[in-house]
Amino acid sequence: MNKSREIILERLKNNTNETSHTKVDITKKTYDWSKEEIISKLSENLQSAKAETYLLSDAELIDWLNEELPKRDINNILMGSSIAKQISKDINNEIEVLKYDDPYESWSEKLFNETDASITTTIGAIAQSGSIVLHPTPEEPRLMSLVPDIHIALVYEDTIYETFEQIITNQYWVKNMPTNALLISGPSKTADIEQVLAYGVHGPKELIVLILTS
Amino acid sequence: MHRTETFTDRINDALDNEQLHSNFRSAMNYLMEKRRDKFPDQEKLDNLRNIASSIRSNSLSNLAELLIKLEEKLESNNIKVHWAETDLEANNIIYQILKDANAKTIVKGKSMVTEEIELNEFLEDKDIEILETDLGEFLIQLANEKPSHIVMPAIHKSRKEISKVFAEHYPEFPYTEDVDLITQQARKILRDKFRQADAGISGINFAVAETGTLCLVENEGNGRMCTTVPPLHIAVTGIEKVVEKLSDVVPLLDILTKSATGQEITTYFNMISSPRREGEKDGPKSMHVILLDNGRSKIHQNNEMQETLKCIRCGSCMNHCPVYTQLGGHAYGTVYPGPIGITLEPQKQGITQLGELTSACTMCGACGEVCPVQIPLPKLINKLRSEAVEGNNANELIEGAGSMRKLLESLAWKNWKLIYSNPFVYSMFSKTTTTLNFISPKTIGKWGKYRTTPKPSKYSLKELANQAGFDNE
Repeated sequence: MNKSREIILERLKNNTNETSHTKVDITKKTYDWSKEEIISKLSENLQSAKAETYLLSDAELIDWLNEELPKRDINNILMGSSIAKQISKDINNEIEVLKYDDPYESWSEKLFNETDASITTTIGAIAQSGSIVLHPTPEEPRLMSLVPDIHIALVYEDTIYETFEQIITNQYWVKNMPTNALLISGPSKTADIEQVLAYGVHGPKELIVLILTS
Repeated sequence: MHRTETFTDRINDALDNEQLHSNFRSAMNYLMEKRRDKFPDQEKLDNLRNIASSIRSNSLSNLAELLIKLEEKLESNNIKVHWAETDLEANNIIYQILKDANAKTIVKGKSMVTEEIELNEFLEDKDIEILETDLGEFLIQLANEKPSHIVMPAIHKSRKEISKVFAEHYPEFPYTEDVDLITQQARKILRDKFRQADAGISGINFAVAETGTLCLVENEGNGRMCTTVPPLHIAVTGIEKVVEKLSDVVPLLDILTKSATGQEITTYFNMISSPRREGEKDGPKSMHVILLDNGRSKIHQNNEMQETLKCIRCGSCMNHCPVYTQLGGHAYGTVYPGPIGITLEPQKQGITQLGELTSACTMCGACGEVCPVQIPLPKLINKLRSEAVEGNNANELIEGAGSMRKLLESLAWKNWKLIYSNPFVYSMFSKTTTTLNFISPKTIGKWGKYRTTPKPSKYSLKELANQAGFDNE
């Protein structure tokens, strides 16, 4: 095993010919979009990938949930404890609040087969590509944004960046990469059969992004 | 791939298959149009290509150093790194990891490098169940076929053909040709498989040396399932996929998705930097990365051919290739088809073995124009053709160099050179040809089979020009 390592590296180092490729300066792109522009770019791009977006104030969140969840036949919803603390006393009592308190293995079947929806926070969003950005945590683990049929994500308006590069730089990703970082830009989809778009192949069938204004 | 027919046989079969033509023609038109829509401004596109190409060249110039750095970072992130010089070695390493974990059922995300090492066949022989989970790959695995395109693996199959195969394997579902329904049926089948799998295997689009991060680009979510749900994750990658910095992935991701499927971005961009950490509630408990050489370090030796390794596997070169569109991916008989395939495969497997692939090119140049990382594919294909007949295997630039030289052909070109480089000999030759034009052959090989055989004219162009009153100058 180590022998292969040495052979490969030796061969690669063997090529001592100077390659004269010119290094291109990657200019940092900024658009200088206003707050309104940045929100509308994000919404437009997400919508064109078939995600739903809503612009709400913090206070309107609970009303939105109480109105929309029953409409979508959501009987239970998975959330982290911070969100649960914020909304569980006001949420329609016909909707069961589920929490990801135990390791995945101990409740995998319920997560896969009996969880209608999830609601997670994000660490921001990217307007240019229409992406929400997640760094899953013990409170909001990785599968929350993948397994339930409907994923609702909260994006605070002041965490929307113009580009992917800006979010990496401004949030110092290089210094503290999480176990898993994700860009999500719509519901799960495929075009593998005759290039016909079909949604909800393995991941969520619906992505709903709630942009929260302060 | 082990095929018994010759390349010519497969070409003839492909050309006779009307269904195949229409499947590929419409798919390629769709992909070309979608890509074109994403790059309305040529100047911006060229700028992005310059950046992407420069990042990839930088990776290759410092490949050894970056791989060492990547290894160090991955290990410090608790990801075990393995080096494999050959396909067999990679397969054995993977098998050993699975055996040690007592893993019997595997779910796999779409990965061309695992096609390259024929991992499925290897593991199935050892009674390990390995299931493709990308919808296209899942369907062609059911049909017992191979991908015919590196991005859209089931592009050669019509909806009807897919429905039939699906119904044969899953009679419990009602027969349907509705794409949404087939997709939902597959979702149902595969969700249980993800949940019950002992291990997940994936490829990698970019491996970031700076942070030890594995990046995966996908739309379906099966890649995320395979890398998050099972307790063990094994990622396999060619050694060339490493990039230096995290910021390098930004332009590469941008140009990859736009070039491949004309998408602004894919649904998921999945960046994995470690297995489950303490306190975390999901994710694999252990992770392994296989760094596969399989001929790459040899290609790296030659600075001109090294550009082959810049490839980010977008498939754009095949989408724009007139030969690929006519033949489809299977006729090539190799894992990677199309322009990148006929450049890469003869270098990996030798010209003696696969040199004939380089003839599947019209030198139209489209692939070189669209390549997001500016691989000069037409130039490299031409170089391989010339190596095949003129190269000298003693210097071993490419294995099998010179092996396609044919005595008669090289004699013909030698004479051609003699005639065309000497005015006196040339004039004698043209006089003889025009005078004796009546004895020229009636047909000339296969080329003449569907074409009118050309006949030397009674008068040479020079004579005609003189008759028309042009003087010698």
